[in-house]
Amino acid sequence: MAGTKKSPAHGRKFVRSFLFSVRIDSPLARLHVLTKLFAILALSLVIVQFINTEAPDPIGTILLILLTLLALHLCGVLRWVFRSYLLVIFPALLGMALVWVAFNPDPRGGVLLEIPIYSGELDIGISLGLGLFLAVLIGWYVVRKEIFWGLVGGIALAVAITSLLGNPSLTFARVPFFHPLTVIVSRNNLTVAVTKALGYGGMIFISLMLVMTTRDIEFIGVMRQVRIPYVVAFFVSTMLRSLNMALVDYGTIRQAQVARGVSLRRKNLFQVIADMAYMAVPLTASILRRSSEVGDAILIRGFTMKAKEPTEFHEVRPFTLADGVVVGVCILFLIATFGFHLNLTRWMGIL
Amino acid sequence: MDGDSVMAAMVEIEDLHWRYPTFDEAEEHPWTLKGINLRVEKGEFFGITGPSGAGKTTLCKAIMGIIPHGLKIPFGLYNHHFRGRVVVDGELVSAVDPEGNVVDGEARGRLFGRGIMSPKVGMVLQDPETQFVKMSLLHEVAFGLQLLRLPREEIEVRVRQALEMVGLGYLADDAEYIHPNDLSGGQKQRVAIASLLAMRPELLILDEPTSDLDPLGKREVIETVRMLHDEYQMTVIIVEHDPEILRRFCDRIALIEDGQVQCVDEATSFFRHMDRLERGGICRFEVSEIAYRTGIYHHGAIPITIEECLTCFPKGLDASLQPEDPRPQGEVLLEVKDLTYTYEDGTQALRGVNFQLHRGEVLALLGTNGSGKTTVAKILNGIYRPTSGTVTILGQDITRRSVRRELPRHVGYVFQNPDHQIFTRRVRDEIAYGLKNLGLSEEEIAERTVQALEAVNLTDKADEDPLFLGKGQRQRVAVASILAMRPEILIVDEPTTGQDYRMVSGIMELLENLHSQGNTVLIITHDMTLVANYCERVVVLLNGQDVFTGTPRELFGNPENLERTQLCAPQAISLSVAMRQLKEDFPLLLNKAEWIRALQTQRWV
Repeated sequence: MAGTKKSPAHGRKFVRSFLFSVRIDSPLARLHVLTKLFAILALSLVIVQFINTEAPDPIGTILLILLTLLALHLCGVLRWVFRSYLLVIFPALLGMALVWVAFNPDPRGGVLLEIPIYSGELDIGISLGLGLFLAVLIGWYVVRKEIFWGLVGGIALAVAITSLLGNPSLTFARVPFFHPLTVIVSRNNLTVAVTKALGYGGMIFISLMLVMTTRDIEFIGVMRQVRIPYVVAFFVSTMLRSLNMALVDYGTIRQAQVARGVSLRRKNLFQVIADMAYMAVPLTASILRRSSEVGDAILIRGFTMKAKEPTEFHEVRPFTLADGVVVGVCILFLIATFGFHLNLTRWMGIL
Repeated sequence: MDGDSVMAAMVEIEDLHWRYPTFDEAEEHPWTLKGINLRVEKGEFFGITGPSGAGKTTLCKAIMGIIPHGLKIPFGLYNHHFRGRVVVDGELVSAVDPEGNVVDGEARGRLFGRGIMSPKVGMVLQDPETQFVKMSLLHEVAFGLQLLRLPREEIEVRVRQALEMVGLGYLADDAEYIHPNDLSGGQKQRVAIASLLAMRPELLILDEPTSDLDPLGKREVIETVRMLHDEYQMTVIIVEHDPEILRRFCDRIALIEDGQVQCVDEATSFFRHMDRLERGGICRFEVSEIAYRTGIYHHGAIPITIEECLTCFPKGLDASLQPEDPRPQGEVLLEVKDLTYTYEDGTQALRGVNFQLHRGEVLALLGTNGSGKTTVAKILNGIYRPTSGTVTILGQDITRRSVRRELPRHVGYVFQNPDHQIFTRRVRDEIAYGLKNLGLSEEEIAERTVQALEAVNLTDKADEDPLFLGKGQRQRVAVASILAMRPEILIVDEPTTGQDYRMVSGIMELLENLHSQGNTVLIITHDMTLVANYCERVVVLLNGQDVFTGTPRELFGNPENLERTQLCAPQAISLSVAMRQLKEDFPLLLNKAEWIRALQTQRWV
């Protein structure tokens, strides 16, 4: 970890990082912060090349993702990644893939599915389906003060009735708007969509590698190493600590809200936002009080704005052979990808 | 100060006046310190006590030099804010030349003096959280030493020594990997002391350093400081409310009230002047109050220790004077069986807790810091889901999510820090906030708000901003806001921590009223006197398990129970236990009310 100690801590296996905790003796935890930053940048550039529309490389992307996940697993943080981000990452990436397919009709490689969605013209008028939809939506809101189920019900009723009875309509005007949209699912755009989704997912995991395996003290050490003035580095350190305290306060305040029954009734979006706004009062009061006391605590230790550079003590981490190896491997990746246009999928003859 | 003193003074304060700056200089704050004159000798263990708002912390900051050097005085108007002199170990800390800094013909005053007295003076603040400024234990203790630019090897040695001094040597090897969130409040406070000790101060100031600690932790911290004082002849100034700590450890004690020093007295005689203590709102010894109310004296003075009481209190009290402990009679509202809870990071907070709560009773949940009390409370309020075991509240199993969601209707929880549960800018709105969440009508909300304000005596504060009320009043607002929701069970988490004697009395009077109105109350506390005075039963947790369930008399009257639970008995019942050593059937009197009643009944007075 930060400093010169080579052996793991006596008895402790995990240490807190920016997010959650990391295994003290894991490979990523031993790397220098600058090495990790370089690796993130380099691998992200490689992924950008892999998700190139003209020559997508899903195999390469998958391989990089697997390597990243393996590194996260060795650090003991993988379960936190999935526990925290599972519900967010995969739906987001799926949505991204679907949007790509919908808005990039590319028939190359063989068309699997073709669905005209939009003719390129807007009909301005009224129809049975629209009338039913609006009636259900407005009626539901008036009765229940909710929108979501009104939307769902309105759409369902409109689709059901119009599929049975047709959709008689009265068109007042027809206006060209945007271009016609046809969803074409072909081998080509499906490959690109999947590769892009995997690629962006990979970049997320690679970025998490930094915040999940790095301690705040390491950032302070880097700042000292690159000769950023101590006052600035100390300010960043205090800010991180204050943020930590604010997060703890936030958790307690949220619990206090629950104790006051904030979750007892269903609430609409505005009420939920209002509840979040209510938290600003105790959170701000806590932060202000703490800032004053932290200021006193710092003064008591003898810190002043004119403080000379203090003794370095277990903050700066030297570069090691492992850092060199990682940087070397990243450079090789970059050369192979940008210099030799490496494409594992094509090299394996899959595409 | 003049070098002619026979004993060298560590602190000399002359006519110190101070008032805090405001944003609007047209309306100045009143003076916080109003002419303090004080002298603390070198090597002395000096106590300071007084009601909240008296100026104790301000005085400590003035000795430290934070006031006024660490504050921005608008327009340099030092004459408006500071007068007098503060000298520490012969070195001028702060003084103002009133004729200096003339601007537009007005002398604004020129501040001079060394300023902040680190590292010669160290100060431990009340809140252990805010003075932990680094992200690891190692860097926290080393921070001051780094600023002193000591060699790395010297820092290594001093850090380890400092941790050993405060009983945390076992953490030294892992210190680099220990995050502040990994430490308990008591440990953080000891780390704060260690980080200052590493700098080898000559004067150590402790501002209510034990208010967040359990009785054992409290004693350990102060004993550590006393040991360091004895071994290194360090001068110590401690601000405290606890009379036992002040008497046991201090050489002299100063009473500060309304910004002035009311008196300075030897520790052995300070607590014998009952009228003065009562006027100042200072916590007295239980045995002193008993003696004062019943006219018992020890060599003409009010006794303050159990040893003194053994020589002057009557030993022939009849055993029948011991009251019977009430048995819980109401229905069981809450039952906990084999409750366990594990946090997300794997920490097992509860390892099998069992207890019941009956309607109408006042139950105390006790335990050392980190024993799981607050975790239990949050499970009972529905904030946490039990990992295993059963918890039945009003006949419903709370492991079901639908039941847990409704728990805030039935179980009210008042958090320890009132600032965490004030959500609005008007007291009236604050109480209405929870009622709106219940979905009540406007008329019902208005009616309940009025009733809740009356219950806590805050009717005249209904339109005030709760953030600008005093701490005791904010605590009352928090209680009122939960009371208004009319829960069947009220959980109060450490309602008296960090409060002075008057506020503690006020809060407990409030809870007693609630109890007399039929409310069921679960109190989490470290205050054993409160438990003895107000609680009918106690449950003690240790390392996440219940190790004792019974009455306060059974707990405090049995030394084995106390040892097992790592608690300390309050003074009144400790006197009874000591009396039993002399007379086997001496009644086990629990608190001062029982003592006074017994003494008056037997007509010893």
